[in-house]
Amino acid sequence: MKMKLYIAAVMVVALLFLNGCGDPSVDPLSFSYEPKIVVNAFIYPGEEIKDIVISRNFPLSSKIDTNRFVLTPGENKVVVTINGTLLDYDPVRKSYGTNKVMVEYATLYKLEVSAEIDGKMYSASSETKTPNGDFTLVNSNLGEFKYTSEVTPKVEFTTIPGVDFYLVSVLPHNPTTENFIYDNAFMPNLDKKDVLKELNNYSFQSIVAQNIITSSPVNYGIGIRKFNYWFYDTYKVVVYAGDQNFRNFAITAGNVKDMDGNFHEPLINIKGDGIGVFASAVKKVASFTITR
Amino acid sequence: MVWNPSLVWQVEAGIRYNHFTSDETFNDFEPRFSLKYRLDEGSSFKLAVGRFYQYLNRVPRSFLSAIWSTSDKYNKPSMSDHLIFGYHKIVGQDIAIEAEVYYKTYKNLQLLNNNLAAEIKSERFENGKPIYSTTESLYNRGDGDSYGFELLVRKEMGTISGWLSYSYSNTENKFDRINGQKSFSPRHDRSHTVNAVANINLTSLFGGDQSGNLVAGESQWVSGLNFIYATGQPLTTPGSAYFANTVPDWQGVPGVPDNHPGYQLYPGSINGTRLPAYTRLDFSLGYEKNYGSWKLGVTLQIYNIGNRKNIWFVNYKQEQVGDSMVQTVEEVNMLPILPSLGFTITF
Repeated sequence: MKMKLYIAAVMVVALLFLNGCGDPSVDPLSFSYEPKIVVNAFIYPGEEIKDIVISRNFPLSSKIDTNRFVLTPGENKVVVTINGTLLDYDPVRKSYGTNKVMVEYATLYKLEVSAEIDGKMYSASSETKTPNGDFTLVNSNLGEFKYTSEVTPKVEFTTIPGVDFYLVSVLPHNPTTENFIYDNAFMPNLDKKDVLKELNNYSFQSIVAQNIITSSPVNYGIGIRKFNYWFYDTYKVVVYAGDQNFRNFAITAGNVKDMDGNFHEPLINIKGDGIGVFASAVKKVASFTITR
Repeated sequence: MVWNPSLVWQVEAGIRYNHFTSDETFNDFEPRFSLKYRLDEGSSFKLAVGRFYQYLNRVPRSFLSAIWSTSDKYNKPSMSDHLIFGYHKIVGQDIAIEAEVYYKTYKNLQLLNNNLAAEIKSERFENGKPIYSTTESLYNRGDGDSYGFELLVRKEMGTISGWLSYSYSNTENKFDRINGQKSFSPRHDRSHTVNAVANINLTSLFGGDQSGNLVAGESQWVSGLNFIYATGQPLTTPGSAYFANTVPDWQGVPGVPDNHPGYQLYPGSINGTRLPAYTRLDFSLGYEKNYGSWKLGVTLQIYNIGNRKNIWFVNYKQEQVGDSMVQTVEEVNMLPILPSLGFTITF
């Protein structure tokens, strides 16, 4: 009996010991950081190539030095080409471009970039095929609307066969805490401090329409709802008919966190050591005004 | 088919035919073969190989039960080949030892496409609206393999009974469009798992009746311990941040990073981090009495008696503090210590 008592006691103590090693915790800095070339590039048929930003990613919890994000030929030995044509760096706009390439419809463009980050060379490349043709807005002046009216703006355009993704950007001209719609239908009773903190989130609104597959140009309308405008202001509306790269990045870049806190990769069509987007689109601009 | 060429050898072989039809028909054969060699009265070796198919794919839903879809023209059946080598031994009268090593390969693993929203394809249009009814783009396809070792010691009778198991496993999957086609551990991977279950007849332990069978008028105390240790679950954490506008005319807009429209998070290597190990100890104490025509049982169970704060999942948050984006982790814990009392009346 003594032996059994001894075995039982040892077993209980061992299990208690194994279980009593302190509560677990997760180190917020236990992430793996890999330097990447960040590409932010959109090209448009009928335009020169401009405003291509080449930057780098940065580790979380590190000091943000916005002057060092953008990778430059001088500091980072950056070489950027599109279909073999070297792009020039504009230190004022902190971006790359060239007037030697006029973007055409239905054409494949390949961007190649190499850069030195933290003493090591990285390279990346991506391709985009520009849309097959142009499209038109039915009306570029969408009108003036009272916020309390049930009638809201609607942007109508003709579709481009072969393009199935459209994005509508809705931007107020002068968003401030003064012209914010405090008696809005969704988040009433906000104070100025709350609005100021989230000013960008209220200002930059977009609407996505995908899988719009048409064999010939047809009229298509996208309604702009009250949760797309938060200020008494005049709004710039840009309709983009984008390629697959545009679609993938617009939908997935900001949606990398699962409900259970786990992360996943966005859809990015960049080979090598790059992340971001190299996309093409046709764009048209409209406007509307919201009044009290 | 079973064949015994001698007293110590046993050969089993078979083949299974699967005919599965959805919008495509699959005809697959699953051959199986095992070889058993009896070393002596109480011990044997076993070698087994086999091929297996699966025609169901899982669509996990956070905090909800998963739903399933079948193999079809877009998602081929998953296939696995198994190679297992095992050893089994009986020690004494009531202790069994089982050990196994294995190697398995997987083909056509189907993992839910987290970017389905961008890739979903409409099958047709009704009244100008796209209708989504196919499984195209629903999964990412991949292959993988795993190997491991399992040991089980079991004692089924006596004052102290129970079992102790240990397993080591290593699984690596490689998916066409995830992690730059570099292999990674799946979310369910656990490198080390230890399970210990002990049932102690306290009455017997302290000198009472050792049979454990109660006759009318007798009573007994029993106690149980259940211990689990498992390596933490793999997870993907945000590895870095960057600025890239999803909408072109948002460029050059001033604003603090944490609500700058172009501020994006990028994950580190897929499932490259692990949660801390999971351990839990449960305890139970029971009293049973036989009243002749009926029995009464009272059991006190304490789940997680150490009140260990095992982590269920974590939520990473970023907040701007001065010139830095500071990352914090909010931990969501599993169940704490949970006592319960149960009564059983048996007629």
